[in-house]
Amino acid sequence: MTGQGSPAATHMCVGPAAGSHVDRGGAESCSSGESARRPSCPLPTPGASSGGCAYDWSAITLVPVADVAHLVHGPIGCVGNSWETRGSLSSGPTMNRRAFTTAMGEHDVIFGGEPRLREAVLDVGRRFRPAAVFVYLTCVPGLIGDDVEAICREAAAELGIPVVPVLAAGFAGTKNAGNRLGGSALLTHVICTAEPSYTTAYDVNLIGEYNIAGELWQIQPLLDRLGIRVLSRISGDARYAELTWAHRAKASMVVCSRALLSLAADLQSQYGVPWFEGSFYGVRATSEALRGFAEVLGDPELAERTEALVAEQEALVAARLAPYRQRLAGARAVLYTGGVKSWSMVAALQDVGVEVVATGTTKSSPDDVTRIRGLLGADAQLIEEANPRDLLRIVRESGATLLAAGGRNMYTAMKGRVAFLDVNQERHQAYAGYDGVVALAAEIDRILSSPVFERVRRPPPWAAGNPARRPDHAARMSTPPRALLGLAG
Amino acid sequence: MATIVASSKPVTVDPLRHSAPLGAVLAFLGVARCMPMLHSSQGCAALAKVLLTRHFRETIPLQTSALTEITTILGSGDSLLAGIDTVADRQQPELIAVITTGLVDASGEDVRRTLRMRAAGPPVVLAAVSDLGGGLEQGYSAAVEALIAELALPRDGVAVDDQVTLLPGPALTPLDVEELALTAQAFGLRTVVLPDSSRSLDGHLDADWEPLLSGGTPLSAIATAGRSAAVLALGSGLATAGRMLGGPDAWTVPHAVGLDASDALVAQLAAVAGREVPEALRHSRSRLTDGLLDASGVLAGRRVALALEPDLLAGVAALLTEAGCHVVTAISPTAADHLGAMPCDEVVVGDFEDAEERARDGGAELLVASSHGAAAARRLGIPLLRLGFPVVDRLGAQHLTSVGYRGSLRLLFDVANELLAVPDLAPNPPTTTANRLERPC
Repeated sequence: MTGQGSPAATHMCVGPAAGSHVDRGGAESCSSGESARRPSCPLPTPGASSGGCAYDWSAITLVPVADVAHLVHGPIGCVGNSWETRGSLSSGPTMNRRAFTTAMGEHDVIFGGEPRLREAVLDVGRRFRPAAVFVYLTCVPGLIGDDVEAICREAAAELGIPVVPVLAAGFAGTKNAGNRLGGSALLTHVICTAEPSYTTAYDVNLIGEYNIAGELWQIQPLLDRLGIRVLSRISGDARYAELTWAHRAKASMVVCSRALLSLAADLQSQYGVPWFEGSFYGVRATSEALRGFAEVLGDPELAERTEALVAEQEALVAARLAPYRQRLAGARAVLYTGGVKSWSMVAALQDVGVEVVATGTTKSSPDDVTRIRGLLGADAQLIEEANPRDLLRIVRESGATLLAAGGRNMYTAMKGRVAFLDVNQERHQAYAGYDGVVALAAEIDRILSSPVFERVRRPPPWAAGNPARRPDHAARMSTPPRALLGLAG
Repeated sequence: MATIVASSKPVTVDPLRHSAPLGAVLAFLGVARCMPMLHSSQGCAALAKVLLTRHFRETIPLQTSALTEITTILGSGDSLLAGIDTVADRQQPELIAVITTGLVDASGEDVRRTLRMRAAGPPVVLAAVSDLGGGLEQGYSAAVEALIAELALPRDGVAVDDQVTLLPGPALTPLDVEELALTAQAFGLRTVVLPDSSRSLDGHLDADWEPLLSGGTPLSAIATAGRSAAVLALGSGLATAGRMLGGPDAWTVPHAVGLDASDALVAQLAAVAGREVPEALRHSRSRLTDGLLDASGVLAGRRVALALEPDLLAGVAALLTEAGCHVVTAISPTAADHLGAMPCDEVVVGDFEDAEERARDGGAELLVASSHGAAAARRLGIPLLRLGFPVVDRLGAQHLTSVGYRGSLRLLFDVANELLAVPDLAPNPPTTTANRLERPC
């Protein structure tokens, strides 16, 4: 998918245009922060909800920015339960790994949380000297009406560093709303507030790439070889400064992130940066993504270089994957993950020789489902929403030996004695690009080679009904032969 | 004796404190076929569930009333009642535990009134807590008190002579709970354990996956919890719960970690049972005293920093002080009276930033804390012994025992081994000429 737009080179840096909010209709409209206010949008079901809130997902979108202090304005639970859970890596600063919070109390609810927030922002700014402070709104201050934007404005003036409000209170929605509101904070307060020292014709943004376990570093060398410069990383391994000039990119790639499509679209509508959507999971997807840059940048010479690189890399990776594909032949997996990964991971698993017998479509758009059908055929089993029991049933019935899902389903797999592959943001393995697909193959091979799953299914020798146990033997032991007891006949 | 000092920063950096609702959930997970439900936005439950899942490495049953902006303002009661009905229908629990949060607190909903409007269904208990105040311990205690208030028979009835009610606090791991029960059973006592995580969160493989945990205190046992010969609570926050069940005679201590505290527990049980201490326990004690001697060379004079929940903080400090260590800093997420009796100069109610700063000032050689202490320990260049909640980057969190003679010995060895693993700082070899090897001509 390629967005249309004029090249950005001549664009003047102006603030976001008023009324630029575009309703893109369909599934997208329900991913906006207003979703909860719209009767037509699905609401979470009381008593049957899973998944994070808008705050959680706004944090997932932005906390990877490494030199920023991320301050959560809310009760202790919001950050207390969630810090240090993501596997997003930084090549330098680690400011983003600290968890800052106002830890609101009763007093703040009664008298308003603004004074505490103001003091907290100033304290963090002065003592830790971050490049910027991002302030995350949560439900309680959202409910009592703390004016977070005003506090941020004042604190920024006093500290002399940007203080950015991220207005994604948990009850404003779920994953898509949080991603989108996180992106919108960047667009409103960060992007187009500074200019890069120089630009090239090959400057691009990566949007929705979080450098999980170092995946950016599997992609970057490929782009380097093509002469493509990543101007702004949004937001894996990013520094605050590079976000400010994302409007100067010549193209954006939205990496596996449905909800951040809105940020790419807004970058196009406001600053004329064309964009495309792609994935770096799997051989085919990686090649497609690299070609996507050439296409969107409209550079025939780059396209040629890309084809050469793709040919070279695909040959190399085919040779490296060959032994794994052989070993993994016949392996079947159930993939249960949301949104874009429901098709991008399908492709990656197929590339390493694993047959995907079913995939989840939670949070997937009609477009995602079309792609899944393209990869798996019309009869593909799609899992709309499954509880662990359903998931295990699907695994059993499909003859799968691997469940690939997010970390919260890991122990579902373990309880079902099924091998598990973590494909979500908490994981510790990097699977992007050509190197990543080899790592994925090696990891699946390693996991599936475990003797544990078969072993724990076997009953112990002393269990009733175990064919290894000889009942007559037990009976003999319980009544010793009379001769042995020295009794006559 | 220690002075209790509150950290005076306007911001919490790397929090040590957990929310009270999380503590309540933890308690309810030790009740048989209980489904905890946070009255909250759905994120509250999702984040708590992920954290509990990572620590226990179990699928954790936890639901939410999934409040939105609109339902919070226009009346969250309907969402709560709908959520209860859905859970009753889908998971078929024997008990639903409703846990309120700061959001409900701030919205001013009268949850008790809402629950009275409920039609038929499984029993519901309410832990009226909030993440706007208190910590893990307060939430846990509120949950236990709610269970007793709703489900225990009145105390004034026929007592069960050889029954003892044990109330394990939030500092006890599932295997600690088991150790506590086994210790009482060694005296021939029958035990009611509330809550009982020893078979629910201990990490075991059932025949099939179930939406609710197996194990936990049966509701029938909670009913008779107030009819025991004695009530023993290990957790300072459980004093009220203890009194509810055992009246003024209930015995509450913050912990049973270390030789003295383990002795006190065993002496109490001996008194309750009216029996001599069994040989097996005497032998366990002799192993601990032997271990203290073996570790004395390693631990004497060593400087340790502790950042733990209050009961565990006091327990670990007691054990390590008995072993000869100096507690150079002790950080607690919340205040508690008993912390004043700790064997160090001051106890700071603070966060991991406070812990790091004071550990550095005190020249600590070891940090004992949850997995969240890893970054601080790395910056300090000292080892971290993982203990408490959450332990997510090591396996076997359930097995990190500290209670009684056996638990204390396990912890003691872990501490000593952590310090033994640090390479010795030998003096540098001298570089005088006399010491250099002669070069051949």
